[in-house]
Amino acid sequence: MKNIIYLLAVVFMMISCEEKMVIIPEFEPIDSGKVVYVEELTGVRCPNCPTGSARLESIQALYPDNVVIVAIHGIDLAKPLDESKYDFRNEDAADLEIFLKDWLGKPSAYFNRERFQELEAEGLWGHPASGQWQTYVERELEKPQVMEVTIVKTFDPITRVLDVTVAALPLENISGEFKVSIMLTESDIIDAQDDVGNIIEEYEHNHVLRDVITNFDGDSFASQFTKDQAQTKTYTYTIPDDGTGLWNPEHIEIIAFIANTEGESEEILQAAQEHLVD
Amino acid sequence: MIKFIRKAIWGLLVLGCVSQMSAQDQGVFSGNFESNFNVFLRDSLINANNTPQYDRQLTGGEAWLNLNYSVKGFNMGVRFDMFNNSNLLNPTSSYTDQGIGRWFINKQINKFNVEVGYIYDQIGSGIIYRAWESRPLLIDNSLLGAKVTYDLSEDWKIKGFSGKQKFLFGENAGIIKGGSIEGYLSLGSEESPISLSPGIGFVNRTLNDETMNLIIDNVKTYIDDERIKPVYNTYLTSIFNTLSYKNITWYVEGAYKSAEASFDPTEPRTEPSGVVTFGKFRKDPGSIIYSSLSFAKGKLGVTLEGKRTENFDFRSDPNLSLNRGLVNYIPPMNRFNTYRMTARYAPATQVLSELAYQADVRYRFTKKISGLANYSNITTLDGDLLYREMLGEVVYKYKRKWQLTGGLQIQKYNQEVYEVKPEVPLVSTVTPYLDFLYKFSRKKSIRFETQYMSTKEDFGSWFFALAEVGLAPHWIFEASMMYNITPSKKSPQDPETGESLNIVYPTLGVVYVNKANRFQLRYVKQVEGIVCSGGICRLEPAFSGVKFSMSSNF
Repeated sequence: MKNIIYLLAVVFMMISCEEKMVIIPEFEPIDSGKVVYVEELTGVRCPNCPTGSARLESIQALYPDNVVIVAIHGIDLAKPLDESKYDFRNEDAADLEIFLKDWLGKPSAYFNRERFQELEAEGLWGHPASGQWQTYVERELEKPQVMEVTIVKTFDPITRVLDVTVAALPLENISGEFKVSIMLTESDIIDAQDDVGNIIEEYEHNHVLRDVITNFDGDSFASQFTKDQAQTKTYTYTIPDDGTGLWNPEHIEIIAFIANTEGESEEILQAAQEHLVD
Repeated sequence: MIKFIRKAIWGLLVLGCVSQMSAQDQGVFSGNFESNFNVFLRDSLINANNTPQYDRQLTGGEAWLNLNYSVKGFNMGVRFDMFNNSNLLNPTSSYTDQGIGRWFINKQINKFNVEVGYIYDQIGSGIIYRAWESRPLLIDNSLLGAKVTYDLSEDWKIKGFSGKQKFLFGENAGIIKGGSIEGYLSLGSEESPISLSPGIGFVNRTLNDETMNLIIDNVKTYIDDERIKPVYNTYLTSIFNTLSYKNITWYVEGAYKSAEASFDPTEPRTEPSGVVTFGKFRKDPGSIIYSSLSFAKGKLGVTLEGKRTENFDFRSDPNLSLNRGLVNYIPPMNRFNTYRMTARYAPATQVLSELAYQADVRYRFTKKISGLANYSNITTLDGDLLYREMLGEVVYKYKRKWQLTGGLQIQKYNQEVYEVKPEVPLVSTVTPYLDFLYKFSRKKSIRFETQYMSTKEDFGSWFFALAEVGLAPHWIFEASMMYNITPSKKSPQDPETGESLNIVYPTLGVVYVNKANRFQLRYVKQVEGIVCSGGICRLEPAFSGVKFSMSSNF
């Protein structure tokens, strides 16, 4: 019995030991030329997606020149609500949702389509915990910038024809299998959204993927980049006018990025964004 | 070092085999093998699609081979695990890996027992610590480390352990240490004996720097008012006791967890823009009180259980979620149902806020007739209903010739919480069921089951029927079907007309048993549903295909 008392005393002494408190550093934004491509799997029926979207908006507010966002309303939880005016689903969004497996649930976010080791250990590609998304953005920003991507566009508001050229300027020699993707997203769309069980009828949807001008998983672009030698690719696209109120040129953004798809990689090296109408 | 120990164990096992052949009395060699093999037959109508297995891999499976050897006070074992395009880790994705899933060596040295390797163990009912394995959910939380147990006396035992929690073929971050003192006391007189089995346990988890940095990276993005200061060390303690007096057994356990940074997905968080979102790290202490009282005398058996849980999410790494990294195990507080329909909606244990109680009464009216009644109620600490079940069952046995079981289950199930499904109402079900067993002879029997689940929610109402022929000791044949008799809007729909369909989900199966070997082959179409192991549950998608499983003990 004496031994037990001694042992209990030792345990209580252990518990009473105070550890040195950690210091939470003040936020200091990372200075980087990289532009991180963030895609979020979402849906109007997804109760936790407004939290994910708000988190991404906060991250973009911290890094306005370094983050571009695409919200993919693919298959799961993306069917319009009874209160919905619009259907954000489209074929490219559905293809991307399948392409981006494995993910655990919505919202899930991807950061330059990097396969992070700790997620892979859990059999995942998409990151479900929105509280940690800023960390992943910053991890990407801390990597060296290897390329600049520029979007050059001309848009005729009468014919609604868009000519878009993507220029990639490598900052070092790189080899691989490079693909270019060009996406059109739309913001400031007011429509219904589930928010933890409550339907918000006038929710502001931003960065909604409307169409992918290239193949949904990109078009072949190059297999070799030589430092300071830019490569370009041009596309022509007519912005639809379906009379629903969507496809408002004032609210459309053009997103472009270059990915290295060599082997198992889908890593995006650099992204860019321009508004359709300045 | 670990590789060396693995090789040493393999060597000892091989040596054990050889020595067993030459001298049978030198040791005991035992083991078991379990394997699953699934063929995935895509059926987009029932949403059995869009996973790698349905799209391109077509098959998947798992296997576990466990070998144990005991000799001269040593117990040792090694387990080979294999996953080939398996859907166990995540039902919507594919997992492939293989290797040594477990090894251990255990030795009794006088009053000491020393064990190293991957160790399964628990303290009390597991509320502060449980290292366990559940293959249907691919949970294997064994501790890679060392454990020492010392017999203080015949009735008192003390143990201590330390290590890292296993995850697949690696380990989760964080060092877990703990110990307990458990004993037995006999009080009272011979006529009215009272026995006590008291115990006290402690657990400490220390985070590593990488995990802490992830938490800090997260917390530093919070507005000033919502920032917390995470700590490296978390301490848990529990005190428990089983009191036995005549026909009464009373178990009680109280547990406390010191404040740590744990992620609460329901906690409001203010974004820098002022928008309020949900989900953030909080730092509050947690507690659980759990008690179970059983009474059995003659024809009557009564069990009462109650549990209060507040903020008791304890993981090897607070950045993990769902079923990952759980260090403890909180007992579920509902009846374990076995019929297909009565088990369709099962509540997962809630670790942050739960108030639950359950009563179970069994009574044998005559030799032929017995009955039971069960009631369970689970709410949040704020009083929101999570689960309620009322079940009554009567069993009539006619000699040894036939047996008829009839019952009625009434349920309320908070699908929004348990399955994280938006906009879904509380599921209310009424499920009558019948089970008839007829024995033609000692070896030949036939069993029929029928159940009807009436509900307006989720997929609507169901009818289930099963016929099972047993030809002991080797064969069992089964045929069953689950029929969506009143489909709802959520049921699979006709792609052309959009009408909800009355779909039949059939199962055909055969089981062959030969001594300690069991083989099962089943053709299955199965609607999505909850799969639970203890109180740990997850939503499994629909399945369509063929399942083969075998197990063998030797």
